[in-house]
Amino acid sequence: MGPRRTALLLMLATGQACAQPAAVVPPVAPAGSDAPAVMRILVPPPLQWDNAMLTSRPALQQTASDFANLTGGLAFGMSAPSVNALLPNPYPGLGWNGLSLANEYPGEVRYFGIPISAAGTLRMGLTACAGGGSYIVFLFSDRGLFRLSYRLIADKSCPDTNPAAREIFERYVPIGQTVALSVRYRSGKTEVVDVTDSAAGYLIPPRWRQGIN
Amino acid sequence: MRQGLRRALSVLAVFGCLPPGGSIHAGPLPFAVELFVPPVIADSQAPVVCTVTYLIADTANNDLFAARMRIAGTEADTAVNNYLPCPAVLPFRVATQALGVCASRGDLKSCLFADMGRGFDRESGIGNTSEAASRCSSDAFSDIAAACWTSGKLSVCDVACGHSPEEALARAQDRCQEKQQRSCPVTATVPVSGP
Repeated sequence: MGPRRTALLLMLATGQACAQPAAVVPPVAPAGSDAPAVMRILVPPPLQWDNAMLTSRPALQQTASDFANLTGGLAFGMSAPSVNALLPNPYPGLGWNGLSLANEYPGEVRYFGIPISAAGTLRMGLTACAGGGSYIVFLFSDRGLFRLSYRLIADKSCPDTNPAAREIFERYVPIGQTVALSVRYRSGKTEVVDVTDSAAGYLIPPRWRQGIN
Repeated sequence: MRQGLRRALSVLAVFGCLPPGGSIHAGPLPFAVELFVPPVIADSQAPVVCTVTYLIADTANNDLFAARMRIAGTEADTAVNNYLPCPAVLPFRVATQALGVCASRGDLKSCLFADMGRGFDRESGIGNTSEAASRCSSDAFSDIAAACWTSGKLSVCDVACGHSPEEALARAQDRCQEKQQRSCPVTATVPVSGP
């Protein structure tokens, strides 16, 4: 195991202590001034209502292919080595037993992470600053990959990672919730975007909570 | 004679020279049979179904969601300028579902209608927002826009509809400036019916 990977896994491990959802924190806004600025509007897929407006359902039929098209071939259910093999710089010899345990989940959940700067397609064409220590975590149950978790940490070079989190979130929101559940929240100084397999059941609710680093 | 004719027909059949009606090919059919599949054709002349788009704000991180609700028409509906009519009255469950589009991706407590009342920066509850003013219908308008000002870390917005993005933006800014008594330089717009 290389020193870079060791450091990253250690960093991830320190933040896995708590299982409760993150507290709602004060909102983060675009730069406050009278200068004109354009906000992005997030566009989830439409809902189709019947004429009496009693029931609704997703108006679009989306599948795992839509998700794979967005993520460069990633699919929920993939094994850790398969996910690793899709990355621009795969870890050599990565396997299930070498992964750390994610303790905030019930049952056996394991994970590995990569710096967001080395995430290739999964960077989602980010243009806003993301912070040098930001990373993506891949979480696996015994049924394979069930969650991608973007963790964007502000630092001196990037004091606000909210715009970056919004950019990433914006790319996943059009994927319907029958395919992937995308959620955005903040934990401590970290902006989090979780993208979860909608079939993950009891693994869906837990949110990451930043540990005391 | 009759036997000779039978033999001649047999020879013709073997070499595939019989007129249509008989079995022509003796070999197996190829597996790569290209069955004719008609292309999916969108009817570009079909009337546009009713879409009601809500702008929903997530005040925890200042995200704006366009929650699009397509509402099925009836056979009696008649399109006007190729747009099917939207219901005159919407049950609140449609608005609740629009809030749910935001809440399922964040936190229910921070998801509100994006048309906010004056003083929203001090009282930022859903009671200080307008459901009716946060939506536009496709039978009446093509675009929906928000204009906002920033109070500390909170975006305070108002919403308007228009027949073009520019008109919707201008109307949203007018509405925001009138309601909030401030300039509202942060703007956003999307088509009501969607891409």
